[in-house]
Amino acid sequence: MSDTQHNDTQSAAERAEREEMFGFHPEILGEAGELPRKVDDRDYEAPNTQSR
Amino acid sequence: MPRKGHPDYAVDPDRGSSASPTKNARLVDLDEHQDRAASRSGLRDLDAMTEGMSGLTRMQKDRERLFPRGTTADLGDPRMRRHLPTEGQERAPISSRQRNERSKDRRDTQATMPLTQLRAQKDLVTRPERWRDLNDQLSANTGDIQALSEKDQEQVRRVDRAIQSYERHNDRGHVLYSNVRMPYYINHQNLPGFLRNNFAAGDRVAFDRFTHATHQMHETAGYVHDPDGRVAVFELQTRRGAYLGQSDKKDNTQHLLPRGLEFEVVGVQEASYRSPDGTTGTRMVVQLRDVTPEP
Repeated sequence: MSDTQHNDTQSAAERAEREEMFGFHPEILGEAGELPRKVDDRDYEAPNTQSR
Repeated sequence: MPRKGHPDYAVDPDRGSSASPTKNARLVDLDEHQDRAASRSGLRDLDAMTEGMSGLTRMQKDRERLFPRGTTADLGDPRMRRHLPTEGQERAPISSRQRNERSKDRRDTQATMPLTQLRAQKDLVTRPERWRDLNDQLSANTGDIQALSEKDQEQVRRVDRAIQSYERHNDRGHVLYSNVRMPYYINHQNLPGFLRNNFAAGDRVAFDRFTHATHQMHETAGYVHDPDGRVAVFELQTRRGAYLGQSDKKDNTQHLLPRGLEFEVVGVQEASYRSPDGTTGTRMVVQLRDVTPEP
């Protein structure tokens, strides 16, 4: 590949990258992480499945 | 803010880990909550000192800052500020003209920003594990970027710059929507009371993380699986962030808000919305106004 061809390919790749209208990953079903509850003064534990 | 019924606790809507666009609220010990607020305040004092240092260029100050500076262009017209809807006002899709203009601003920004910034932004929003890990680190450290590894600091700063590039092109305000899942014992019956007890007008809410939002309530309603009815919506008035949506050809008005924002609660209300196909729905809404300090 000549230098000119290489530069053209690179420019086209850069242009495509800039024109891409990417969005957020559609991971929309992720449930809440470990939610806390107070056990005594400052200690927390993750709720079990029954308490959810 | 301390809970009225349980003064030992506070609800931090941005504290729980999440790989999805939805924020996960957590109950935190009141002492911890106050310590975190004091920590943020200390970091902002450091930013104010950086801004006051003579002999540093604008670029050097931005590199030293711990929170990203807002860089929004002047409002094109006072009518472009966008105000929070009033109680009883139906939330409708934004106009085709608005979507097309915001999309054009996005294209113009992407055409000129450094590719390293564009790639950092794409990496953050298209890799759920990266979205979770960087945001969890920011939350754990109340937004103190210097607590992150060199590599992670570099990515966060590049995303900050990418958002600022968009803000410099943006001469309009935003009203945005973002889902927030309340703790596990909340359901559709006690959600309204829980919100009113824990988000009183004038309370402050801090977002240490980057935030996913959209410009349309019906769109945000479609981004969440909520069989228990514990997900509320933040309705945010701000001028910050970058449009990551598309033109009017698609129903996609996503928006990336920067990290390190502070909001004031305006109120809680049940709001109805309308989708483009005419269907309607209701959501419990917490209205917030951007009050991020700007040293």
